[in-house]
Amino acid sequence: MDSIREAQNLSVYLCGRPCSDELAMRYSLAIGQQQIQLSEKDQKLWDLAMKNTFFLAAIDSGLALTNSKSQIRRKVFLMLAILEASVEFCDEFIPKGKSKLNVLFSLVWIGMKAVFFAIIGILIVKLI
Amino acid sequence: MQDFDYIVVGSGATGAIAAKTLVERGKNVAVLDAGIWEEKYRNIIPDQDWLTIRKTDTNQHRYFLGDNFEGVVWEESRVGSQLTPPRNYLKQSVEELMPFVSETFFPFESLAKGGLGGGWGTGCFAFSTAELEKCGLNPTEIKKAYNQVSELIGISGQHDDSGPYSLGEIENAQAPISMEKSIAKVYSNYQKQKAALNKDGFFMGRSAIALLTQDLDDRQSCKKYDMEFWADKDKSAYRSWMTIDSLKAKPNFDYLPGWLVLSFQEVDGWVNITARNISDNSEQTFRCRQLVLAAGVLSTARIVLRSGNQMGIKLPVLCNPYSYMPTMQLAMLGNEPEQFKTGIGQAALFHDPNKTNFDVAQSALFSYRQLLLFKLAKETPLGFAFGRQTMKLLQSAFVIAGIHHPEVQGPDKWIKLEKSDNPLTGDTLTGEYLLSEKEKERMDWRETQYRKALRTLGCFPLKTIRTPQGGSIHYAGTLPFSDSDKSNSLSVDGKLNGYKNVWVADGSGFSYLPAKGLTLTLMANAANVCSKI
Ligand SMILES: Cc1cc2nc3c(=O)[nH]c(=O)nc-3n(C[C@H](O)[C@H](O)[C@H](O)COP(=O)(O)OP(=O)(O)OC[C@H]3O[C@@H](n4cnc5c(N)ncnc54)[C@H](O)[C@@H]3O)c2cc1C
Repeated sequence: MDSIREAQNLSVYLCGRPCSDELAMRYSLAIGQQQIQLSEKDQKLWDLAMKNTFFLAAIDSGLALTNSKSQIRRKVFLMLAILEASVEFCDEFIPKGKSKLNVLFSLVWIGMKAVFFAIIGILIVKLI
Repeated sequence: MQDFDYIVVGSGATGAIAAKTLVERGKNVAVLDAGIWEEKYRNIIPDQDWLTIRKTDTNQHRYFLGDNFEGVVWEESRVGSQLTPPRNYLKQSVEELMPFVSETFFPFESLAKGGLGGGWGTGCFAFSTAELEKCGLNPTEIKKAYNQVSELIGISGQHDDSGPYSLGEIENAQAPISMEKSIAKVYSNYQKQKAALNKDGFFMGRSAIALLTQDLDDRQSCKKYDMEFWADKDKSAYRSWMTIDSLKAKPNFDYLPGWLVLSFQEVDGWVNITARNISDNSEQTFRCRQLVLAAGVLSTARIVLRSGNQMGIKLPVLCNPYSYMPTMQLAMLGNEPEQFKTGIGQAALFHDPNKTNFDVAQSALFSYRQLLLFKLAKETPLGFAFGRQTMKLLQSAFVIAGIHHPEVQGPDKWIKLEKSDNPLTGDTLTGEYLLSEKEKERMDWRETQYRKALRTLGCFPLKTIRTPQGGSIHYAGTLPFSDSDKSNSLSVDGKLNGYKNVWVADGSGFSYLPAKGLTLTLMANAANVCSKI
């Protein structure tokens, strides 16, 4: 898959919507510059992750616990940085005023999702 | 060969003040400096606050991430993680020109115009009389020099409970900057719990910082744009290069960047200095009547050892152990982000268990925003999408306590210069830095006390991270002050023993390193040394 499509998939996973071509091009440039090499196993995981956001979320979450320095995570991290340093996505990174209760509920909800995806991800990482 | 009356090597905190002091005394002075500089990002950062920039500047990725994505660091960074792409020039060329190899010590050096002072956190601390004496400094002279330096660089602060540990006897400080909400909340908790905390030896107050709250010459008072780690638009935070730039207008001053000083030799009342041009590698000799070394303690050590042909000789070294604790201040959860604030530490918490203002530990308290969220997301054990959401929710509640521990000399804290195949210098500095078991226990104990105090202040520590030795970026003690004239030591007025006209104005002489940031004292010492030569 080309890096422009990768960027779009990553953007949907990280911030819930696809990014502009400009940001996708930036990701493509960054990947070229950083020369990230995936091992054979990582490549298989990556191919699966690029099939849909569900697998991407699971594999990233699984790797966060089993191999947090994986080169797959490095690619996701690059895209996260690119999204943050953009006018297009900055609001997804700047906190908003909220009630404490709202924050606590949100944290619990995110935590539950994170655990769910991590469990699936660990299984996938083990199986592949 | 070029001749000068006085040559100062280095334009960092100490070199700049050394040169300024000499120039004001009417001497003819040249600063010989590697002098690496950055122009790429400096001019594209808008003169606006962080929040506005984030929402409007379509070029922000250039300086926030770097044109080569150098600001997106994947590897564990050992030292200097606050260095953003616009500050990366501070470490440029250091590995090639000043190689340092060690398994246990990871110092951070600079060859930049303005030295490490181009990115320092501006925390200023006057050492107590006992601390100055243990360093080997003259308390009366240094306290006088503190006021001179404060006047020059502009220090803001307050004589509150932190006063004895930060402003000391400095009388000309500007009013402190208004506190951002999260630090103000910790401060108000301190006022409520003061009696109990003081009993345990904890004292909190406003930090003394070289950040203007009133205009000074061409520098403006801080606009609270929360961009201090990226830009110097209003020049409110003092950077050593500002002193160098202001000196350039003086007829008795020359700034000579682009030279790596290798060694010196005294010949017939002159000091001959051999330097290498860092762009074309050519070698040149400069000559002066008096040489002032202010190249930072490790670089000064290289020059001194090389000049004396002392390969393999061990010199002592000091570096404050540093740990930091990310904490959660639950009371701040969900708080609206502030448009105008500063990311510079505005409050400090000192631990002085004996209440003697000696053997004190120091912690600056910071909020987290300027350095962007993606770096925090990397620290969570979550998939990045969940890490982003979690950190976005928690960010307003983060208070980070950076703890410096006081440091004494030890048998396993040393550096030495060895021959190597380095094509530019022919040598490499090596070193070791190991704390004794007793020192580690003392750190453990200190950190436990801090965790307790922070909880009392409403900040719940999440973890304690110890940086590798070198991480504090506070170095000293390679050529300790000595009453005798043994080699590789300094007389109390800063003369390098064994030489007639060579002086050292950086922290090489300090035999002790209080936990309080040393840079104000470095500058005061440089002013003091150069007031006498
Ligand atoms: C991110 C950061 C935050 C910090 N925060 C604080 C703080 O809040 N409070 C505090 O007290 N301290 C702080 N410090 C430490 C402070 O910056 C240093 O203590 C101080 O700048 C040291 O000044 P110096 O003049 O001794 O050396 P340096 O700053 O290292 O300057 C050395 C100078 O010498 C030149 N040079 C070196 N070798 C040669 C050579 N061979 N030939 C020619 N030129 C040479 C370099 O170009 C440079 O100009 C911080 C440092 C950093 C990086």
